[in-house]
Amino acid sequence: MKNIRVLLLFVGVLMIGLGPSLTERVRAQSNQAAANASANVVKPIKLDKLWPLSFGILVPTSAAGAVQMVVSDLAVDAVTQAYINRTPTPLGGVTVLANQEGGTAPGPAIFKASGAKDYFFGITLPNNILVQLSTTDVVADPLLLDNFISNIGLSGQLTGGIGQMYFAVGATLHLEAHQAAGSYTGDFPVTVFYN
Amino acid sequence: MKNSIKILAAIAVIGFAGNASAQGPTANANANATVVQPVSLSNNGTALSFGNVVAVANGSATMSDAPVGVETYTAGVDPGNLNRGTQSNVHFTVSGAAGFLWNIPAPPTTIPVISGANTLTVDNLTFSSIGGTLSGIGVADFYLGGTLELGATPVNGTYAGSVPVTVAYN
Repeated sequence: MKNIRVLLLFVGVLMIGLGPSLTERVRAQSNQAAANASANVVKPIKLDKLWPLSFGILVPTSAAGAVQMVVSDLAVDAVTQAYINRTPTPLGGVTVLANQEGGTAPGPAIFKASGAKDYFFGITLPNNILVQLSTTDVVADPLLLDNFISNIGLSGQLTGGIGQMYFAVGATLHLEAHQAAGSYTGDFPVTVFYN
Repeated sequence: MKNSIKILAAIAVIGFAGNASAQGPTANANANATVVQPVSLSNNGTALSFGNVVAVANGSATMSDAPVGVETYTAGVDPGNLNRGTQSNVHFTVSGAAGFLWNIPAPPTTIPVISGANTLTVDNLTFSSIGGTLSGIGVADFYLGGTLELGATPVNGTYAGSVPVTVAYN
């Protein structure tokens, strides 16, 4: 029985081996046809961070609170991609200092996506991960960031003469009651990809 | 059987390659915020105190807003050096973030002082400063003075009132 299995396997291998030579024979008896093969190789999409997301100088109160960097009404292009000075909107429990002199000017994060001209791309924002801003100034609870939002939603098109698009990213920053004073900082990831 | 395993393995590799190509570049952007301590105000336990005054119709006593308050009187109101009692202005201390600007957005100018059914007025409230820059340790001091108006028919009594003062960052 074992010998028969070996023989069947051998026959199978032999048939596979014969396959190409049979095909070649058929081809030799017919007219040749050339099939076109093509590929459009595009340059990879690239993402540059231009400006940080800065909430400026905030004053906590005895109640927990939050501020929101609104970007939905922003238009960012090659001309206006310079830092956009925008005061965050208080959502209660936090005072945004009117005079921001002496601190980092508040404004949304600005990114530039570039790649193949007219191609569409998607954006992944860290909506579902916990982003923390921490300080080394004092022993303090970290600030939490959530509700990330882009001024162009989660997709865009690489337009213009060289295939690029600028976009702004905002988020909501949460402070605890009596949040300790300090300079808080942290990173958040933004990813782009061809759609 | 061995061939089958090889084919499955090849499919698995293709699957991973497809996933990898869908991933685009990620840029880690910085987010930052500066949290400063709220500005606060202390009266250091001091009060705007005119001490004893003589009930002279339409008379007045004025306490200056200098660091060492000096009280002056209109004619007849001064009870004399040995009878003046406790006299002081208010010494306020603002506390907050070093180097930050502070101010008194709405400095009061007049308050009532009451003794039972009788009311007198303290007006011309003056502040030695209504704004400035907090020092390197985040403090600033100012003093409050004012004028006690005795009115046309002053009635004897001990009068008291409250001066609401609010400070804020600029």
